[in-house]
Amino acid sequence: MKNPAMRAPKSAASYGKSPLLNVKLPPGRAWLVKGLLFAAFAALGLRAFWVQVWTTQFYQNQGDLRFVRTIELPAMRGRILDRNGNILASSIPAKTIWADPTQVESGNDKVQQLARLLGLNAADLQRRLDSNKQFVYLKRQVDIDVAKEVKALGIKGIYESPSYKRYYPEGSAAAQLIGFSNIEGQGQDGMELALQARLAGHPGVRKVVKDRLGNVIEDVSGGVPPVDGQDVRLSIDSKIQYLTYQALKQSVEDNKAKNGSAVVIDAKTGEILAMANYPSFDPNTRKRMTEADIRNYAVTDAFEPGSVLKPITLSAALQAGIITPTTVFHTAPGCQQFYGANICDDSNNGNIELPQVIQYSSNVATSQVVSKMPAQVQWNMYTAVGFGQRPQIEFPGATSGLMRPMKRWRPIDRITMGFGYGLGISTLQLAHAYLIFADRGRIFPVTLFKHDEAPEGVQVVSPTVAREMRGMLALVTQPGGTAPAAAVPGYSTGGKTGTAWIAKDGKYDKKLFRAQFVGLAPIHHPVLVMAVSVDQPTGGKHFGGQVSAPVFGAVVPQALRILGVQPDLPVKPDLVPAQTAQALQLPAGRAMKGGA
Amino acid sequence: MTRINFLLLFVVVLCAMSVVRAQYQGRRTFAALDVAQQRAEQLQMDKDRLQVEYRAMSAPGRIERIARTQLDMRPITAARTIFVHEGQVTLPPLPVMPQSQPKPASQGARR
Repeated sequence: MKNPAMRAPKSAASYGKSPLLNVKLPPGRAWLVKGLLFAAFAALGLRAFWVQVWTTQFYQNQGDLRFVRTIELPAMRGRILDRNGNILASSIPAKTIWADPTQVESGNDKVQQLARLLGLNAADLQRRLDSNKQFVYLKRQVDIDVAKEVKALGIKGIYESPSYKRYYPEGSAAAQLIGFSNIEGQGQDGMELALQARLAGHPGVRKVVKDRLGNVIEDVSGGVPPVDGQDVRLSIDSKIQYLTYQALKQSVEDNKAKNGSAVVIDAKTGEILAMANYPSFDPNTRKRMTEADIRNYAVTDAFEPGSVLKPITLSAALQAGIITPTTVFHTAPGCQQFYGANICDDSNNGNIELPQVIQYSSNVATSQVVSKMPAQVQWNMYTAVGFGQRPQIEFPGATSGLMRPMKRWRPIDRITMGFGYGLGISTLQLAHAYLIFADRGRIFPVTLFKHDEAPEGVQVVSPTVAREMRGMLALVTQPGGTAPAAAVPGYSTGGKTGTAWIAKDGKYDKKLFRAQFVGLAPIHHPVLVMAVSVDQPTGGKHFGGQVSAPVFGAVVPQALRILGVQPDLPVKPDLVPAQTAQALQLPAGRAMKGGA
Repeated sequence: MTRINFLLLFVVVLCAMSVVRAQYQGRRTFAALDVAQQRAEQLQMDKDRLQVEYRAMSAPGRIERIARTQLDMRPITAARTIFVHEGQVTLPPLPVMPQSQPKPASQGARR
């Protein structure tokens, strides 16, 4: 049906036949709709600007909170190596076993097995698993193999996370020197503490996006890469270290001593090849470890050295021209008064020359030398060899020793210091001082790090004096000297013994001794200097030649062989004769039996 | 015109699908890379651990104990050492080792 009213005029544009489409609307309404639409778009635009530009950081952070995960990247602690690259301390991967007690089912039989695997008390473990906390450490630094077994138990609520464990292959042989680090990887003692900054490194973080399966699907900027700790190469030779420790341990135990320390130094560079102490501890377990076990006596403890100081004093007088090797000393009847004090020898040595002063260790003759020597000469020598000064080594608690300023020296102090009483030095300082006899009268600073080049030494005495002193020191280890136990087959040795009384309650206890020996080998071209100090031997022997010299005698031949030093004394070969074909022709039946 | 519009629409959809696919592939590849890197770290840690174990096995104390107790060896002395110098051309003769005798074919079976 057609509606005539809806018919459009011929002149107007035809929109259709429906009259509704031809209704004339008020123009304001169209503008209103347009305006509303425009306003809506403008609002959207402003909102987009607000979200995308103005507050973008807020939304970015909110987004990151939901997707970006921060992963801690631990830094690997550096290794401590010996001079040949052998590992002395290294971090190995381990696991931390922890639990969420709210997830652990109570009364689980597997808890018993878990306690056994972790070496924990089952009742104690059960008590910890019954708590209301959501995180409980069960055991840290668990070996990987044990952690695998724990995982295999499949106990719900027991988790593991990666960690590191410090391992010391040398065990107790170098325990005080290397030290140890705690469970957090912080150095606590020894080189682990001294080199903490170099060994520790810096942990890093990584920001990543993870999917719902936990896979990392994208790296997000803002992470910091970890910086692993540096490896440190020491001057120590692990074989010589072990030999020194074993020989020292033997001596301390055999002589029922309180403790002992020994230092081996490379005579041409000042590098410390070994530094051992006993009693010791196993740094891997640290069970039953005491304060006394941790102490690095060789570096931290100063003591009155006794007669081992005589060669230092006498070389000062030789260098100053106060005496010569042929000077004769009248020591009879074995005792002499000096500034009101009676100085005695062990026996009446009569008239002796300088070499015999060293060989017999005469206090009287040494006192005579000191009484002729200006105090300045004595002071200069002691300070030149490092007494009263902290050794230049990076070791925590290294002692400077004890030496009074020269101005406060009384005349009798000079006399007693001449043979090693009235001043204190460490075993390391003692070995270091003897370097002046080793390398043409020069001394090098001691170091615990391997040198790339031989250092420049400081001339303390002339090469002639050093050579003369070596000749005298060689007499000590020969028959008739005080330390024949320091003589070794194949190599010439020399040294000086010292048996010092120990001061107690303001006076010397004549029953308490410190037995010492310092030696060089081979004596004519020294490669090694070794000092041994054993505190309070009570096993019947107490002389340095009996207690400490055998340690030198046990270590030096092996150490020289390890260092490739050829014997400088004739030795009767004891080689197994070359097996010849004839010598090996055994009866057929015996050969068959041996092969079956 | 309409045909071109449809063509462009098709191209846009294709590009959008490619972007989604590339992103998916990129994430999968990155996840694989991450797994490989973790594996490399794990292998590095294993290497460190094995080096330490090797060192523990070759520690002087252990070697000496085994040499003395199990192998019945004695410490080396200067008297039992031959020093060979650099440049030395004549080495000491090596000991002659016993030669194993070939067994006759008829005696091959062990009784």
